[in-house]
Amino acid sequence: MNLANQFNKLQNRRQFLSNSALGLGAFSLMDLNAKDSHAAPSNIAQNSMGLPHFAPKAKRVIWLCMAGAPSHLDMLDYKPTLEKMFDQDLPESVRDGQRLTGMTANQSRFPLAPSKFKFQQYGKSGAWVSELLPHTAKMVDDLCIMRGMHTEQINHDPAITYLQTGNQIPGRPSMGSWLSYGLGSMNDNLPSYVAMTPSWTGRKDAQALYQRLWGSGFLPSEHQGISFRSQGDPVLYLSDPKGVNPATRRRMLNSLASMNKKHFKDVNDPEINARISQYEMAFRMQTSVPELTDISKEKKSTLEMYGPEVEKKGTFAASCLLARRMVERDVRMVQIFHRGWDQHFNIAGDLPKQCMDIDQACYGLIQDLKQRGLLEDTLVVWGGEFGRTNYSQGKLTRENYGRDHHPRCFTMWAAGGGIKPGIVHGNTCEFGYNIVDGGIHINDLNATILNQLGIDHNRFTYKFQGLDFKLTGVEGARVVDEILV
Amino acid sequence: MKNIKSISFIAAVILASSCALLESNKDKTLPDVVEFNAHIRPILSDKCFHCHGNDPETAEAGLLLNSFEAATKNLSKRREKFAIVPNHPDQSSLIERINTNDEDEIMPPPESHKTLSQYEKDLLNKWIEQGAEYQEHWSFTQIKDPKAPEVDNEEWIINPIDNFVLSKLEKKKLKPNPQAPKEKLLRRLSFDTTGLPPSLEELDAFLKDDSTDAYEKQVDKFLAKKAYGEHMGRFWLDAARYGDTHGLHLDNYREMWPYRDWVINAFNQNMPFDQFSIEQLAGDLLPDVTLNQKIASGFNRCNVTTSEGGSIAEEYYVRYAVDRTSTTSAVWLGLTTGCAACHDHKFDPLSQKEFYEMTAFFNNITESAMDGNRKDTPPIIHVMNDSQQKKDQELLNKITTLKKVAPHNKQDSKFLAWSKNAKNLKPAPAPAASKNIEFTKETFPVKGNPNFIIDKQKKALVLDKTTVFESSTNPEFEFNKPFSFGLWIYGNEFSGSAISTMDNAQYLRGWDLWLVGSNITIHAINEWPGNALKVGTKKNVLKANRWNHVFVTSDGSGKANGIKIYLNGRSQAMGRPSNNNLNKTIKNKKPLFIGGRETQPGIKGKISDLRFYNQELNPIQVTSVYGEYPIKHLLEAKKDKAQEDKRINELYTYYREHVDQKALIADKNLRAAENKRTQFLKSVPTTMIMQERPTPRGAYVLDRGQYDLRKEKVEPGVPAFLPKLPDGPANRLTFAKWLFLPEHPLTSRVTVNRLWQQVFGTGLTKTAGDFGSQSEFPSHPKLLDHLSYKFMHDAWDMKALMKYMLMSASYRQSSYVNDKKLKADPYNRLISRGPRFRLDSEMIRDNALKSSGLLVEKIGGKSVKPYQPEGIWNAVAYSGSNTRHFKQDSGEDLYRRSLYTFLKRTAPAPMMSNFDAPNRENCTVSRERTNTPLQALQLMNDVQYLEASRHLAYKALKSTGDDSNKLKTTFRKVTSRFPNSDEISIMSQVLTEHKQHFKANEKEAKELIQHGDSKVPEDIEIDELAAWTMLCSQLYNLDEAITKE
Repeated sequence: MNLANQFNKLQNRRQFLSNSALGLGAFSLMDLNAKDSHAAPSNIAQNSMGLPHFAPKAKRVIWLCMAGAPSHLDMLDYKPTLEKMFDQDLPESVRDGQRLTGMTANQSRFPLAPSKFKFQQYGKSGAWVSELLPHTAKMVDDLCIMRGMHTEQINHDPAITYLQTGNQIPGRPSMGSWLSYGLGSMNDNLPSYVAMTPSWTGRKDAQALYQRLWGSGFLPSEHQGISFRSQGDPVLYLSDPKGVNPATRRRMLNSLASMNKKHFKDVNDPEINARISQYEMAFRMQTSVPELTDISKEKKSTLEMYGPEVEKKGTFAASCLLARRMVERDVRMVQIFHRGWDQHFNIAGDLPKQCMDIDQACYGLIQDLKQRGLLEDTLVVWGGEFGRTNYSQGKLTRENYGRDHHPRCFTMWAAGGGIKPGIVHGNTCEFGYNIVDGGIHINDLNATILNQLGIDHNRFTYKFQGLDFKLTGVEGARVVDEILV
Repeated sequence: MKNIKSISFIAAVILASSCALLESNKDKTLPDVVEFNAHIRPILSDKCFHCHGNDPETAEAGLLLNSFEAATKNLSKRREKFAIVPNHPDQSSLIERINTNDEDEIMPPPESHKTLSQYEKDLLNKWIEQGAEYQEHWSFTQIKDPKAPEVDNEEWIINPIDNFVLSKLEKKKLKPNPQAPKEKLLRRLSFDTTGLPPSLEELDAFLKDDSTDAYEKQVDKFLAKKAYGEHMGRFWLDAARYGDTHGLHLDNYREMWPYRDWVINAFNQNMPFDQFSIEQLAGDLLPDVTLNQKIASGFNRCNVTTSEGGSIAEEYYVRYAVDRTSTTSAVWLGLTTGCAACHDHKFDPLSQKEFYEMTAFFNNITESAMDGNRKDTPPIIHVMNDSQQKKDQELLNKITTLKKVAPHNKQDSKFLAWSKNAKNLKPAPAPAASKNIEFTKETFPVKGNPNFIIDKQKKALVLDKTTVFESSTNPEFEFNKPFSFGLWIYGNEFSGSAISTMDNAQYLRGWDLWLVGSNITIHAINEWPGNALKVGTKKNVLKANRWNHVFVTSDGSGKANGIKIYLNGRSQAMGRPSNNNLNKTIKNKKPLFIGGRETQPGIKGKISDLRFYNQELNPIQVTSVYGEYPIKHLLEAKKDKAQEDKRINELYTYYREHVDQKALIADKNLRAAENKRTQFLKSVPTTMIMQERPTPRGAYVLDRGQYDLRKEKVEPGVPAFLPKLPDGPANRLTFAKWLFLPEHPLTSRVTVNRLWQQVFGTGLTKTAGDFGSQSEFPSHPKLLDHLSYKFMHDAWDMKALMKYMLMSASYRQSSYVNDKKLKADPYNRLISRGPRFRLDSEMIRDNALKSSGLLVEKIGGKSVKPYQPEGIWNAVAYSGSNTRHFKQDSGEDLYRRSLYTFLKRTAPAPMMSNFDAPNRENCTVSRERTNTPLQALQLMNDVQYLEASRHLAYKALKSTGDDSNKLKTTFRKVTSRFPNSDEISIMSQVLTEHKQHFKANEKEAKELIQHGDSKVPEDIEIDELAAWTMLCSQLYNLDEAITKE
């Protein structure tokens, strides 16, 4: 934080303080600084931190995180060579020293496992998509398919932590909390950053999630992602308890505010006024959240786009619809963590179920956003923490096989928010093991997402214990200009 | 009021910002004397050191600005060029470069994204003009006792703290606030010493006490309370990153609470800080180490650990050592050493090599990189209370007695006589197998062209490591039924299963005999890896290129210790199980596979005589199956002394186990007694401790911090810019003692500052975790030194230091702030008033429990699980985790102090995460304080507060007096003060309205008073209770109720 910023803040605070005696109305002054409003590109309003650095292409992000690591080779990265080399050993020259997890390091051979699923080309881009994703196939011209994703980690916990916080070791803020911290909120009565953890139907023994994935790390905790839950209250403690009706609550809040205001007169600490307003926001959330989660007014045609599961609480499809309703209400970032993608075995049995969970829902989400003109400035990202091996873990047959973790290449897609639609970026080798061109490190992806939100990732830092931290780490990351409109 | 979220954000930033910079920026007047530490170092450190700091490798243009010598040397060989020419800014290229308009020349360069303000440029200019004098970094200088400054208003002074505070206020033309009203002061004192509000009796007594030392008596009384240790300990546990789960991947339960209790007790005993620290860093290395000292050493076992299947051990050994080093540095040295894991520190004089020298103290633990998902990852210790110790002694005595029944005596005449005749013994016939496979063309028909041979009289199937054979003879073993099986195997290569039956589609359900390398292992799996058993021989025992007889028995317990493995008739030492959580079926519909797993051939060699038993064979039976007379090999005397001793030992063992009936029974009883003790120990709490490896693991400089990129080997050491290690072995104990050398500049400063932060809200330097060159220059540097000096010379007495601060006039000020002070001292960094800030999450909850009378004031014990909405753990947990399902406790465990709340690190309780408590995944030395709507929702709607409200309401209703009196008392219980008339009338009014409402809506009233597990009183009007409950809930939501002021 530089001196100018600090000075700005002081000014803000002065205004705030001198106006606070006038009552709550004075708070709106603050909005000028933290609320980025709908800035015109030629005349962007920067907040007190100088953000956004430049005109953003996207205002919101929906991050569809496939926890456990989906098999790129069975979904989006077609490798006919593997078909020809069924059950042959992975050549050493291809593996080239890649470290292996403890799960296959002892395997005596690494038999190449082609996908058992049929691939076909779709759309103007001619992207190859497997039969597991028939709806995704229909929308390839909306997507930028990135086949050159890569990471260094080969185990779930550190890898997904790396993807979501830019560091393998717990303790750093997640992307959504960086955005909340840097850009503030765009709405008046919903959280700025929401995380959802829907159900899944594939492998039951699913990899864990960790609250740190949407946590605020060393940033103030108000920037942490708010879990929207499918059981009980969507937001923790949202509902008035049994026996407290809205009138009782209002009566209590009014009386509470009077006492707090009274006390403000006695001690003069502006924090008290902030507290009063938080109670008002809580009260508004009690209306705005149920309104958000009530899908009864959605058109039938809309619901149908998301598929049959959309009306079932807690499914991925239901979460996608909620995500659209959230971004529509200017929630800055929505993350959906779908579990069950860790197919070490039984790809034939489990992967189709996982794909069923998400395929039509993703399609519905993109189309819905598009129809409402929201896709333009909403960036949607889909993918997992790493890829899966081209050789079989355990038994390989034509009918069934499994795949271990693979960090060197995997496929993600992005749509909207100023990302080039209808392109396939990057290529992997004929074995689907190494990147040939168009490599994107996960830190590059994060830099690119920030870029679309008008943020230069190199300049977006937070000083903690004497060091300037940033989301994209110290090793350097680059914005992937090639995929930008 | 449109955007609350952003307001609270700004408020938080305002709270966190530095006022020193703001002030200087504001008035833009340059100081008369520019001081390096106060004015220049912050600029250089933030804007220049990244390229011109301490790291010679990255020094641009050869310029380092970290010392006077370096900054003033000639930079050019050809001509005279100086960055700094003292007294001559006009000749200093530094000044030229920061002022130029040339984009290629300007410093800092545009790509650094850093700029200098005009004020900063002016400061640099004036500093050079005044001689460019460097000062050693303020926190690295030796701590001296500065003279307390003189002040005008001497009457205000209570102790020297006040001199330092007042002298600064007087310079700023500010007057300190008067002392806070007594009731407020007592509340503040009570929270700062115990984390709890004072009782009404305590308030009344203090209000009545007019003696001159009334306040001091209270300070002493509160510091002596047991709750003091809980409160102080709670801050320490943030720094220690204490949690109740391992923190990574499965995030299973970790039993560590005896360490937490040790911390509480240490504070209550007022253990001197040096001892407190040494025991935690190296308690295990102290001479005549006590149980408590070992428990204390758990500090550096609190780091998060993993047991994720594919993890690479060395990677995690490095991470654990780095975590321990960084945590220790942050807590005692106030240094952010972590970044030196990858490169020399840019800002502080700490090299990468020095960092790894420090890690060398912490990477010598007898731990395994994988925590095994067990609660007690070794090294651990059992922690017994008195009655447990008594019981243990009884069990041990019994064992001792039983050992005497048939003492081991290899000279026993009966044994000697027997051994002479032993040659005449005949082997017992092998028990009949329930199923067996003989490998001949006739008896083992398979497709294809299997190769059967007879080798050394063994009918064998040849395995070529390309084919796996199938047999319908699947013995259908079950995890909870005893079984045994065995075979002969001759291998050129062991790299997989010898026999197996597993169903890949059911995550490897089934079992196999896994021979990798030459280790014999068995898998028994319901679902890998969450419900599975994997255990094998400790050593690589199989011999290649010869026949081995392998035999496995299971006692039907499904546990690793029920499995025995034999090689050539003799039982083998077993290794630690890598999975031991099997409790479901292992049956499947697969055939038996021979020579590997279904499509994963594992063996090149031969296999013969496969037998299965539906019982657990005993050792004699196993040797019979093996076919050799069980002691034949023991009957030939050996020439070599050691070999002969070994032979006699084994023979004697056989004799005791199979011939000597008395010994047989005695040994059986002894085993039973030993088992009983093992079982008993399982009921005893354990805690993880430090234990040094006998041979050091060795530490290396790691290129870019990568575990597999080792560079030079390093020995344990401390950074050169700090004092030298004292004499003694270069180990943790010496390191810990080093922290307390009288010349050590950091330990005392860092500790004192943290305690100041705890009491006053912000440290004297606000960067409590960083005292390096990026730290904030202290608001009162001399006060910090005064306190640090005093702390060291008061024998590191923590209570004395606390008392010293609590007694000061500075502390006792009222927290009222007028507009002038708000402007001049917005964050109270000048201590122009008493502290006022939101309570920590634990204090907020404890305040409600205490004031409502629900609090169970019991110290220590296992962590508890009070109310929590459903599904919080389940939403994130791994299916096989033992902390997947939250099971709420009942009874008094719902009302314990919040520091006892079970902390699952990947999904902490919402009361904690909503109110800024860290998840303890890593070391935290200062918490943020935010203000969010989720906090409001929790305080209004969480059952914990509704139940407390009802209890508070019930007590009010049961007390005597009119409503106004009841309101006064109730209000006092929550806020510690009497309400004024306005407040009484607001409360009365809303109470009347609530009463009317609930009278008319009895159903709602009934519902409202049902919240919580405690019994709902029946001796009271429901509508009255509901109305009062609502009022009490309102009081718990007051800003004042959750604020220290």
